[in-house]
This record gives sequence, structure tokens and C-alpha cells, in this order.
Amino acid sequence: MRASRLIAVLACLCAVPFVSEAQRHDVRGPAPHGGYVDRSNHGSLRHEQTHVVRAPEVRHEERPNVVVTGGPSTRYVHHDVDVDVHRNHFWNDFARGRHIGSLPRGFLSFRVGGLPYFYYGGVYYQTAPDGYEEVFPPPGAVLPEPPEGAFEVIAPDGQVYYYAAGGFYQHQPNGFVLVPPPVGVVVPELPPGATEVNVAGVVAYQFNGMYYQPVFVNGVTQYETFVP
Amino acid sequence: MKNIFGRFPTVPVPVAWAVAAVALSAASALAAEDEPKVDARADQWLHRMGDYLGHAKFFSVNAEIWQDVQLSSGQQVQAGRTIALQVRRPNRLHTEVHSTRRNHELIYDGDKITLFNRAQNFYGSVRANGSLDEAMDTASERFGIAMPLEDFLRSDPYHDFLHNVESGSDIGPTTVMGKPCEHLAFTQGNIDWQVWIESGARAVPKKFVITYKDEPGTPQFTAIFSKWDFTTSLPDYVFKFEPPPGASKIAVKEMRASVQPHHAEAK
Repeated sequence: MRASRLIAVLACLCAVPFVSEAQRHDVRGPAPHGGYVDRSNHGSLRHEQTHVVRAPEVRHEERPNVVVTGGPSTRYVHHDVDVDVHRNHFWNDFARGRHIGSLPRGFLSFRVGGLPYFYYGGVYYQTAPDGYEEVFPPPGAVLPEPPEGAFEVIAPDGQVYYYAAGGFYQHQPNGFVLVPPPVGVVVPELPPGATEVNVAGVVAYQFNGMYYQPVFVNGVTQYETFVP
Repeated sequence: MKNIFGRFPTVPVPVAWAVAAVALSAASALAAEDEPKVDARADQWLHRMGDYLGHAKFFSVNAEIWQDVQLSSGQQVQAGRTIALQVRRPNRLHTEVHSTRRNHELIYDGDKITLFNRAQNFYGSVRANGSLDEAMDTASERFGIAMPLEDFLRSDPYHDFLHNVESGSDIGPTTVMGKPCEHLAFTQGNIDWQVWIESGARAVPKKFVITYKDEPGTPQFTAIFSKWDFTTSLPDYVFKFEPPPGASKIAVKEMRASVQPHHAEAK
């Protein structure tokens, strides 16, 4: 009987390493280091497991009045900043002061601070002697949905903004409200027409009173808002 | 002497043997579930390529990249760029990524990783040291940077390639850019990947494709390699970065704690 006990104990001792090894789901040695990088940007198998998704862009056709958001464990990286595809959104062509004779079809009209504004595709207009002119986004404007192609960006304090053409929108009960540009937010591209300036010997860009300094984020150039 | 077996129940010897056999076979089955199902030929080819690249003291290669990108309209298009890689083991790397509107370089000189945006003349550096593998880990874990085609630059590519593989097979011989190659296909997690390995004396990759199965439209990343060079030496100056006139030094943002991996999904 003593021999039977010995066999049983030895069997269990032999089995334990196999079981524990199998339970670790890692029988092939230590995992390659991962990190939360944009897994597809450089075609990396090492980062296949990372839950990186492309920065959600607002798509009106697919989800009207709904903005794509990620789960709590999702890390947003601006997937498209290092991919050479020109995204021709209407607001990419914004030019402050440009005059037009008539507004694009489907424009919205509203008042902000008592002044009349017109809006289409991420661009704001005011009346001008010969028609209308493109103006900076007026804080306080409320839209039913962010501009097509707006980027979702997250501030250091966790606030979520939708960014397009130098305008920052926040989702509030009454719609998407254009708010003053927050400080310390990284955006994937400069507002159209931002002017290069030199701030204390460092290159920066200025648009509608806010400054943007270039920074490398995830290995590619993006822009962080700041006030000198 | 105290009988250490006294606490165990008494069972007949044949029963004990049966218990042992069941325990061992169950444990082995559990372990086998995690073993990748890679056919021998695919394993052999991947090993050849891994050894060839991992043992190379230095090499240069170019790659043309085609990457599926979904526009906000939902339409899928391909974005292209070229990559030039220069590697000198154990701790030197120079990469240049070039497309119509962008031109980025990444240089590791053994002490620091430098990023250079040539199109806008911005550069920034971060401290890093150790082997190329360690620099890659620093780059990805602290700064969210994936080095271009880094799976092929690792010191033990074979091990890393197979690490998460669930299955793999040798599709067979084919031709890529006029060169006879062996076509291998693998599956792992959210992706499928394929590699075409030159079947001559040099077991180098000629083509590499990743299919992202968990993304809309199952986009692909395709790399086509050319100009493998294992003979032209790569002196120090290749890996030394000198800012061009007028270049602006900018910050390299470290990943914030708030965006670190969720515990449940950490690697």
C-alpha cells in the first residue's frame, strides 16, 4: 500500500508543472514586449494584441447623430496621421475671410452671442457686403452633430472633444457645443490656415487665439495646444 | 521515522497507476492545446529565415508598403510608402519612411532614439540604450512607437514570429517579383499573416502581409522587400543624426499613465 501512495504522489508532482504551464497559456517562453502602439501603422506582429484603434472620425452617413466612442480599455491613437492619404473634408479648405456669393446647400443658420451665423460642413460664415465670408468658429455655437470627419481627442483631464478645423466640440444635452480651445490637447493636424510663429525661439502655430506646438506622439508629428 | 504517507488514503497499486496515467495525459493535453499547429515545412522555412536575419551582423533593405485605409466615407483605399532600413547588430538602426507628403526617419545610435520629420524639419530624441530589442521595447512601451517592420529586426525573429501563432502552413512555392519563394500562411488572434521567403541561398522575406480580421473591411498591410544587402558595411556615421540647418527640436511625448493598458488586457 505504501508503494501505491508513493506512485500517486509522484504522479501529481509530475503533473503539476504541466498543468501550471498550460494554465499560463504561455508555453513558448516570455512574450515579446508590446506597448500600446498603433499596431497596423508599421505592420507589426508584436503589437497584434494591442487594443489600439484608429482615432474615431465622425461619419454622418453611417451613424447620424451618433459619435463613435471606444470602451474604457481602448487607447486611441491617431491611426491616420502617418498614412499618406489626403482626406478631403469640406472644412479642410477653410480660409478665414474668403468671400462667397451664396451659401452651400444644406447650410444651418443660428445666432451666437446675438450675432447671425451660418454653418456648413465645419465652416462658419457671416454676412458680408458681397455675400458671405468664412469666419473663425464662434464659441457657443451648437450643432446637431460634429462636422464630418471630426477627430475625437481626449484632454489630459479626460474630457472628450471632437476636433475639426480649429473648432473643439463637446457633447452636451442640447447638442455638440463649440467650446473655447482647451489647453494641453493633442490634435492630429493643424487647423487650416494656421500661421507659423516663433514663441521664445521655438516654432509654433497660431489659429484663432490658440497656439499649437508640434510634438512627436506615437512617433509621428501632432500638435499640442498651449498658451504662451 | 515518521511515515510521511500516512495522511494519504490507501488505494490499490493498479488504481494508483491509473490515477497517475490520467493526470499526466490530462496535463499533457492541456499543454498541447497551446502548442501552435504549424506544419513542419512552414516551421522549417520560418526557422531558416529567422536564423538568416538574426545571425546577420548588419544588413540593409528597402520595402514598399501598401496599407488599406478606410476613409470617413467608408470607402477603402490603399496608402503607399517606402521604407529604407539599415541595421547593425547589436544596437544600431536607421529607418527612413517616405511618401508623397511625408518623410520620417528613426535613428537608434545605442544611446538615444531620434525621430526626424524631414518634411517639416522637426526632430526629437529620447534616451534609450541596450540592444536593438531593448530599444524597441523602450520605444513601444514608453513612447508608443513601433519601428518599421520591426518583427524582422529582432535578434531572434523565429521565436518572436511564432510566439502567438495558432496555426501555420506551407502554401507552396511561388514567385514574388521574379524570385522563387516559399509562401507561408499563419493565423493568430485577430490577424492572419503571410510571408514569402526567397528559396535560394538567402532565406530572406520578399513579401509580408498582415490581415486585420477584427477591423471593418479586414484591411491589409503589405510589404514588398527589395535590395537585401548583407555585404555593404554600415559605419557609425550611418546611425549618427546631425540636425540639418534650421531644424527645430520638439518634444517626444511619453505615454500618459491614463492611457496605459487596462489591467485585464495587459500583455
